[in-house]
Amino acid sequence: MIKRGTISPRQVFFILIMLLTGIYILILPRHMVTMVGTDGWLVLLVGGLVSSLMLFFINRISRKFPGKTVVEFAPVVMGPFLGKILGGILVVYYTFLAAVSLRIFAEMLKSVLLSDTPRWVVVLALVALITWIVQNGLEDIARFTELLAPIILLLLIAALLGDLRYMEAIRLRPMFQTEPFSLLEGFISSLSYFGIIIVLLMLYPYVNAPKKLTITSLLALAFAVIITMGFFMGTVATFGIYETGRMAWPVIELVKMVRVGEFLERVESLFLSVWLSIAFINVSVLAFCSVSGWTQLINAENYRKLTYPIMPLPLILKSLAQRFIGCLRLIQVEFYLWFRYYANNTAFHICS
Amino acid sequence: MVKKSDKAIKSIRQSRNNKDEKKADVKPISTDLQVNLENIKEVFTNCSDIVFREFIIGYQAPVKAALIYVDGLTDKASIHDYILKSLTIEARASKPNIELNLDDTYKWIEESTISVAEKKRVENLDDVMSGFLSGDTALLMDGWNKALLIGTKGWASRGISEPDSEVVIRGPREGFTETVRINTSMVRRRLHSNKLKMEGRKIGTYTQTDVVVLYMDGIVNPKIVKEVHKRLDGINEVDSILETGCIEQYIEDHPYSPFPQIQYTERPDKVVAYLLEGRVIIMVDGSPDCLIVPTVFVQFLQSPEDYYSRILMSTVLRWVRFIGIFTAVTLPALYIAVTTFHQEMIPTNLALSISGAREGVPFPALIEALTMEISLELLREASVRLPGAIGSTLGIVGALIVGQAAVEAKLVAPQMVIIVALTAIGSFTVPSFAASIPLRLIRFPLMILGAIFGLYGVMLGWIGILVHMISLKSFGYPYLAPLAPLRVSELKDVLIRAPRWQMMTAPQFRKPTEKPPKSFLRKPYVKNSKGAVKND
Repeated sequence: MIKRGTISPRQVFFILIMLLTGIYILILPRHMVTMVGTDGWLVLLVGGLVSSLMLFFINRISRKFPGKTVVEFAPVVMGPFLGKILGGILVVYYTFLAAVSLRIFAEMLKSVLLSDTPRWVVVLALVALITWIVQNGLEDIARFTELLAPIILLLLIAALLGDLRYMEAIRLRPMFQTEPFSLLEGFISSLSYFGIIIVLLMLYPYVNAPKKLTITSLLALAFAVIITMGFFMGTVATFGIYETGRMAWPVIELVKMVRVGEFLERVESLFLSVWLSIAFINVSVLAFCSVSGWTQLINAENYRKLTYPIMPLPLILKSLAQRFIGCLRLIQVEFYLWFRYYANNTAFHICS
Repeated sequence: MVKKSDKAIKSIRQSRNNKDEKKADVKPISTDLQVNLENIKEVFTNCSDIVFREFIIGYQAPVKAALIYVDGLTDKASIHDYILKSLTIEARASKPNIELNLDDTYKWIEESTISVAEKKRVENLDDVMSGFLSGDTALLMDGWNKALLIGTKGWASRGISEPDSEVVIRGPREGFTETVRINTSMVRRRLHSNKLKMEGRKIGTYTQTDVVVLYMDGIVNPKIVKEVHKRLDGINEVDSILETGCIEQYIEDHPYSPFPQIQYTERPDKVVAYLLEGRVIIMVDGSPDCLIVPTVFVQFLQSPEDYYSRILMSTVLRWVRFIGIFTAVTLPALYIAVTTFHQEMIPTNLALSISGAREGVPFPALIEALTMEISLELLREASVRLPGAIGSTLGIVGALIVGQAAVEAKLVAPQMVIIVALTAIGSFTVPSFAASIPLRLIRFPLMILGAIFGLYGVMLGWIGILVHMISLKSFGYPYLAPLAPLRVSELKDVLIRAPRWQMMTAPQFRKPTEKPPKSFLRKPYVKNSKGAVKND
């Protein structure tokens, strides 16, 4: 069992930013563009605002049960049976998220960088490292995030700024022309995009100053919304909605255009290293949540022993989808699952 | 963890039991001088360096006495002048103003005839023996069941000289020597404070090496001192301690890690600086190095000179070292990855010239790099073993002639020679030799990863290194400390070297209760200089 109260609010801040601007940002612009066209920024903004409400709830309810994760306090609130089921859903959800993140990253790596290397070799190496850090504990994950997150964020912002010269504001128009139903669809999708903040429910008892967390997590969300909107608008302003909708990895395409001076071009390999660290952080946080959640679900003492049987789960899950299209379907399933969860969660809040 | 601590407790208990047994075994000093001498002589048969000198004190009621000392470990002149002379000649001349009671005689001898500063009364033979073995002179007298140990330590030792491994351009040239007393005196000379504590102990069943633990009381976190003592207690049963390195291996947290978790230094000024930061220093007799605990990684990138030279320059030098480390670890791997996988990253002209130079080279980049790096390591090891003058010749032969010939024979591309030379130079920028060793080791797996996965592999390798470094701890303190976990206020001694007047806030090693000294953001005498302007 790792000690409770070992990570600082600042570390949580960076973890949340990494989760929110993480792997999904790679496909987010295309996803948004196909649903709501140029109005993606609006949908993202509203989604962020609504998520902040949810963040508020998360903070409130976690503070009511200090030192307990959601898997532990759900049975107290909702009775043993329902509570276990909710905990189970959540834990499955974390495992699933980890699998999908891994899958998206592997897919991107294969199509952009290492086209001839077998996918499982690439992923296995990464999963081995993740297993290692999950064994070392959340404290190490948090430190790792804290060490790399500022550099990653700087590079991401630098990539956006570096592409400013290709962007044209006219491509962002027309605005507010989307039909209400598609807007709703996009809104749900953006909600589920930011919905990853429910990871906070699992991290809460490990934070040493929980009182600061409300502000910290809201700040992290705000920061993430800005970066996400920046990337969405940057992609659309560079490529226009039709191009963006057809690209497999719009953000990677955006990054490809960055040039350093007149001599260093095609630096996307460097940015892939950035996304590798993002993927590493994301999957290890999610894997930690999943593993410790399973542990608490079955009331086991030490989560470390459970790591080895559980770590292959994302591997198996992610290979469920055979091709790229399958991968997309996985994401849709995930969005759907998330929506169900969200409904559940609201009910849960009303209950308490 | 639990198992480990159980073991530690067990071993401590065992050692305690052993100590108790020893106490039971202790031989008392007999009142008969001859019995004592025979006992000691029996223990020290075939030890030609132990000197027994028997003589008689006084003439009215003469007392038989004997001096025992080790030839070579003692200062002969002081034995002659201040012990033998005063006990034989001068004691006869002065008339004791007491009645001739034997007990009083011994007291009188002990208190007023021996004119040596240090003396200690001991009550059993074991203490007598360990006393004279460490350089003191033992005085035994007939009819007295105690003995005196008189401080006459004095042996040939190396003079104080500049430490070769930690050279500075600006700063003191003094380095520690092999005698622990001289070393502690060098620290005390720089730190005239009653808070400087030096706790001595002996480790090693055979060597009985003197080990001194230094710390600043009131600054140090008492937990660290306790932890150091606990770990030193754990190695009481070790046969021998020959150098600080032996202790280091016993007490460090992760002995199988390539990264050193305890720093050593030969420089007294560095020791004083670290003492004032609240760290614990361990000195060992017979070694010019002393250990600094706890150690964090960034410490290996700081040289004492940084704090003596001017602010801007030392900040720039810090960054030069960062670049040096990055080069030493990653450059060959990056070169392999980029030339094998990501040729599109290289500017076109450069790519053309690289491929032109590589034409005719029969090996893939990985083999080429491995050969060169291994030959570099060969050169390095060979030049360490050779005497100085020949060492530089080897450098010329190895680097210039072999390198040139290898390029001309088309065994390696000239770019590879540049890369390898740069890695070597990069690893030399690390001020501490101990820290440059892991960098040399890590390079090889990174190169192989780079050859398999390209940049992805290099990055995977770096993530692995970071995961490992983050999990390391030195005496309970995270190894990558001011970086991860991040302590923004301490970054001013990592990313930059802030002005001295801004570095007064306490580092994490201090006692938690201790209030940090006032930090002022301006140069302290600025206020006064305004007054000076008025005077003008």
